[in-house]
This record gives sequence, structure tokens and C-alpha cells, in this order.
Amino acid sequence: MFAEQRQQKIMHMLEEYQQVDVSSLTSVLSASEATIRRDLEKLERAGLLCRTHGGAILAENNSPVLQVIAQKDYPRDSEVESIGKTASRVIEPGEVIAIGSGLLGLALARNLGNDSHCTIVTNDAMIMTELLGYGQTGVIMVGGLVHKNDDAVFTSGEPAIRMLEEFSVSKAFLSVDGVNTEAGLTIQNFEYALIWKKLMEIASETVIMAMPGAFGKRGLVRLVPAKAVQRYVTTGSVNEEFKRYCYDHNIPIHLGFDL
Amino acid sequence: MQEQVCFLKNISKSFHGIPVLRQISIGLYRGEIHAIIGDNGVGKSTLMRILAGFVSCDKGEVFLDGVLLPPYNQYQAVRHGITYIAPDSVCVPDMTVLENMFLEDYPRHPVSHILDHQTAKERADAALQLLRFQVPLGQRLGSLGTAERKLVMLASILCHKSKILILDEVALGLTEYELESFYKELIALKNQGVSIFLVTQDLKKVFEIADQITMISGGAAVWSQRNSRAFFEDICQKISIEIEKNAFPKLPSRPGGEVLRVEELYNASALRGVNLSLRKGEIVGVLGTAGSGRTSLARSLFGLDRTCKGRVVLSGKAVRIRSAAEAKRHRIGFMEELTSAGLVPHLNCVENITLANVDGVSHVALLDLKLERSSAAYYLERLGIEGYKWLRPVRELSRGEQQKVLLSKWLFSNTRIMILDEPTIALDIASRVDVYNILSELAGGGISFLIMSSDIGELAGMCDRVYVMRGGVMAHELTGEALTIKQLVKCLSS
Repeated sequence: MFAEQRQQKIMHMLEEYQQVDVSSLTSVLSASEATIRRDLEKLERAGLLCRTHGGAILAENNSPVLQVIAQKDYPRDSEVESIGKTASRVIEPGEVIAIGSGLLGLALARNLGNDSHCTIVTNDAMIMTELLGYGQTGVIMVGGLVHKNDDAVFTSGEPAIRMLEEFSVSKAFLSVDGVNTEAGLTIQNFEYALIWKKLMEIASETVIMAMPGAFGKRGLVRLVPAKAVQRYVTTGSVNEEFKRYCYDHNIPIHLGFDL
Repeated sequence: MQEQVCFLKNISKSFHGIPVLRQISIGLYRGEIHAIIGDNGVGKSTLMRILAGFVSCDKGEVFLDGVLLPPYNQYQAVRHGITYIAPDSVCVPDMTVLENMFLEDYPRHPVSHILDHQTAKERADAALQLLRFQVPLGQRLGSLGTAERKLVMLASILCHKSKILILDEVALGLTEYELESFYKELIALKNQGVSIFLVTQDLKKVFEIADQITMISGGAAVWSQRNSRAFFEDICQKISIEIEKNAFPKLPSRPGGEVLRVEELYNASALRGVNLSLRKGEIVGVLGTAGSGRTSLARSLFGLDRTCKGRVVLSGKAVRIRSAAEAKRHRIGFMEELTSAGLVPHLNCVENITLANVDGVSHVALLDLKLERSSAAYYLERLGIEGYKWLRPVRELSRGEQQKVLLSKWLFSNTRIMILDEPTIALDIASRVDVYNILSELAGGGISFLIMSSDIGELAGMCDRVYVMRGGVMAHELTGEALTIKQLVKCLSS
């Protein structure tokens, strides 16, 4: 099929379904992901659609929710991707997990893959949208007061915490801004602290995702001690002292090297 | 009052401007076992090698029986009565077991100075007997497996009636069972007046047999204490010695189809009908004591040892691997215990990485230097080796870094099956964590690993399946729920 034909088909599908995702486009149009992405970029430049992660929506779509969610320019930092990929490998197929809000959680969602058969509880709207592209996963979005910051659109507050109490997950993947062996795990956003702790409570295993630069930092809001969690996921460039700390405290630390 | 048989005072040493020892002082009394502990890379070996005369210190003094010694080399050290033994001390493969045991001081007739074979054989036999280890004295050392060579080294230690014995990590790669008799004999030696410096990672053993314990960190002595029950309990709190470690970053694996199958493999020296299988993306361990044949198996699969019977099947096709080059063509890689065996010490990182795949960086037989550098850079960057080290000879890098360069070399030549012999031995903790993660990540990408190791915890923590090898055959295979440290220990001693 020629590029024009493909692009026309994409527009037809958009008009019919309001949104399309890259994975189904690749099978329907028998083209590679890279080709589809290039088509979407072209159509976006022509002003006919807006790209979202995992797909696209019509440009004239007035839905405010979708506009907010369709952030075209989120950073696809290679370290973030690497952490997302490593974290996704920690999951066993069919598990029930929780993914906390943030860029790392989003990277994890992006790397889940179509055959994971997982059920995912999350309080982040962007993560929810990303997961909608995968037919095999069940997604539970926690309702509550909506907050938006640079990295995420998430829910929190009393209603969200009460809702989480209904659930139990085997692993909770939570990100933090600071990991310090004395001060413990810390985040910058005070709104998020209570729901973060609730997510940890409902999980059998807590997996902390953090950028290598976060290790050693002390953020504003203290959550739990560094050794109170069951696993860490980051990249190989994290400092040596922390690798020794994990080894001494019997906590597996998963490092992505991107080889 | 015990006399101090040697004293190292305010020793400082730097390599290439990087300080390794900072004004460190340490003493040894007659008839005591002084254990030196600390992470790898902190300077323990360097300090001992200074005492043994291999390296001279930048600043500081060495006293023997209270007398200041002028600078000396390793041969003069032997004459002073200082014997230094490390895993690479007994190492001339083409000489016999007997010759290796007396490399530096073969017994001679007192008057004529002719080599005294009778005495040498008697002493060697006695030592081997004490260790309950049987091996013909005339056998070529190169035909023995790695663990057996270590036992020969231990036996050679027992042959030396020197004044001061320095044992540098001699217990690595041997299981508790094998070391039992050795430590008993070491105590006997001590009671005869030999003074011993014992550099070791085995904290449990240290508290069992040492009289004095010194901990070194960052090139300085952090503390030095007499061994006692109370001290042991205090330290346990601080260092949290754990035999069962849960810290292995093992990721759930999804092994694919079988990539390697070995059927009834025999060879002249050790293998007596080995059967094993390895799937794509699997990490399989081989646990075995000295003489089990695990080293021979590794070398045979890589074409270094000849096999005489049996089949090796790679992805469904039977193959004969008769050389390392052939093994490499079949995309098999091999990392021996002595890292140096896979690296060329005077070449830099970039050159070592592209060594096995020079075609990949050449254009019609001309080496493309830029491509070579960027290909190597891909791995060096990701593995965290600092830029200024890339063009330095690899012998200047730390063990952990050398291990990473070696891995990169095999990755760059598209290896699909990696055979590792004791991959994390003598590595510092941070490098170990890195290596475990790298193995896990590569396995996820479809590379299969066969790991020979004597570290039971490591095998239980990192492998999908573990074979227990004994007498040249696989005696047990453990996987899933049954793969625990307790079960492995049971298999080893049954």
C-alpha cells in the first residue's frame, strides 16, 4: 500500500473511531511501527490529527480531557525508558499490580507489552490512557481529586484513598524523587504523599523506581525508610554505595544497562 | 610476652597518582593468625605484596624482629622467611604438581645443593595427605581443574616452614567441605610458631580461627581488634553477616527453545558421560567440588580440551568443536576465572573489545579506527567505565572493570551462549551487583548462560536451574522450588 493510501485509511479510521492506536494500525495496514509513526507525524504536521502516546486523535476533537492528556512533547529520555523496560521485566504474566503516578510509571506502562495479561490499578490518567492501547490488560483507574503538574495528571484525596482500600495487589511500582539511606524515600509533592503510602500498603511487594540522580538526594516530603521496600529499579549508573547498601540489606536492586 | 615478628609502619602507596594505601600500620606477632578483611579494591593485597617484596612502598618502613629492613624484592623476602601465596602462585601448567608446589624453594641436599627429590616428594605427600586430597605428583598441573589446582596450592602452603606466611584469598572458589582440613592444618602450623597473615572474605571463618582481626577500607586500617565472642557478636550487628542472601536481582525468565544439549560427553581427564541442556535465555549453574570436572566441561565446550566420546548439539545440529576459534564461530563465548586469560593486558579497552570481531570494524581488511572506537564506546558507556580509562591498557583497570570489558568483547562478537567460570569471584560488591544485573538483562535478550561456580548462594539466587556435578557426571539437577541453598548443600555432601 502506498503512503497516501495508508494515510487516507488512517483518517477514515479516525473519523469512525475518534482515536487510533499504533499497534492496531500496524496490523490493519500491514506496515511497521516506524512507518505508521512517520505517517502520523506527517498528518499531524498537516494539522489533521494530534498524536498521543500510543496513537492519535482527530485534531478538531474538542474533548478537553483528551486534549490535556494528549501531551505530544513528553521527554522520552533514554534513562527513563531503560528504567521502564527493566521494571516491566520484574512483572510476571497475569499479576495484579499498581503503578504510581509519574514519568517512570508512564515508561513502565509503555513497556508492558501486549502479552502481559495483567490487571493494573493506577491513579494516573496518562498511564491509564497508555494502557488502554493494550487489549489484554485490565485497567482500574482510581477516582478522586484531579491534580495536574508537569509530569502527571493524577487523582488523590480522601475518596481515592478509600477506593484503594478495596484492592490488594502483588506489586506496587512507585517512583520517588529522593532516596537517602538516612532520610529515606522522599518526594517533592505533598499532595501525593498520602496516596503513595496507601499504594504501598495495599501491595505485598513495593518496587521503587527512581532516576540514578535521585539516589543520595533528600526531598521535601518523607515517606518511608529506604530499607522498608522490597526492590529498587534504576540504571547501572547509580552510585556504588547504594548498590552495597542494597546488598547488605538483602534488597534486590535491578539495574538497566541498555546493552 | 609475645614478640612482634614483623611490623609495617606508616605505609603509603599510590598507583598513577591514585592513593591506594594511606599511612597504614599493621603488626604481626609470633604464632598468631592475623586476619585482614575488607572489600575488594581497598588495598589488602597491595599491602601484603609490599611486605612480600613484590612492590615497594612510596613511604613507610618494614621491621622484621624489630630490625628495620632496607628495601627488598620478592626473592630477598623469601630469604627473610616471608612466603606469599595467592591463587595465581601455583600456576605453571606445563610443570608437574610436585614442581609447582616448590616453585621457589625446591628442597636441596644441604651439602651438595643438588635437588633433593626424595625430601620434596615426602613433604608433598605428607601435605596432600593432611588435606585428604589425592593427586599423582608427576601429573601435569595444566590437566587439573581449577579447584584441584587450588588444593595443590593449599598443599604447597603446608609444605613451607617459613617464618611468616601471607595467604592472600587462598580460600576462594573452594567449598566449606574442601577447606575444613586446610584450616585445621593452618592452626597446627600456627602452633608450631609460624606467623600468618590471612587475607580473606570469609568472615565466618575469620571469627573461628583468627587471633587478631584488622579491617581495611579505603587504604587505611579502620579498626584492629583481638578476636573474642563479644567482639564477634558486636560485629555481626554492624556488618550483618548473612549466609542466605536474598539480594540477587533475578528477573523472572521466559526461556525459549533448547540451544545446547550435551549427551554422554567423555574426555580423557575428567568427563565421564556428562548430560546437560541449556535453553535460550536461560541461566544454568554448575556446582561442583574440586575434581568434579566442571572446569574441564567448560573448556571442552569451548574447544580448549579434547573430548573423545559423546555429542554436543547446538540448536538441533550436532557439532564438533575442536578449537576456540570454532567455538567462537558457533557464537559461544568463554570467561575463565582469571579474567586476564581473556584480555590482552597491554592493549586498551577499545582494542580488547573488538579483538574477537575485528571484521566488524574493518572495511576490506583495513581497520576502521573510528568505527572501532564507537562500537566499543557503545558498551563502555553503558557499563559505566569512565572515558579517560578507555585508552589505557586494561591491566590498569580494577577487576570489576576488566570483567565488564571482557563481557563487552563477547557481546560485540554476537555471542549467544556464554560459559562463565566463577564470574564474580574476588569482585567488590558493587561490581557483583552490576554483573548479576547484566547477566539478567542479557538473558532477557535471549543470550544463554552456563555458570560454573562454587558460590552456592550465588547459584541459588541467580540461576533458573543448577546441575550438581560429581566425578565427571551430573549427579543432580535442581530447579524451581527445589532450588535452594539447603538443597544444594545436601546434594554436595550426599
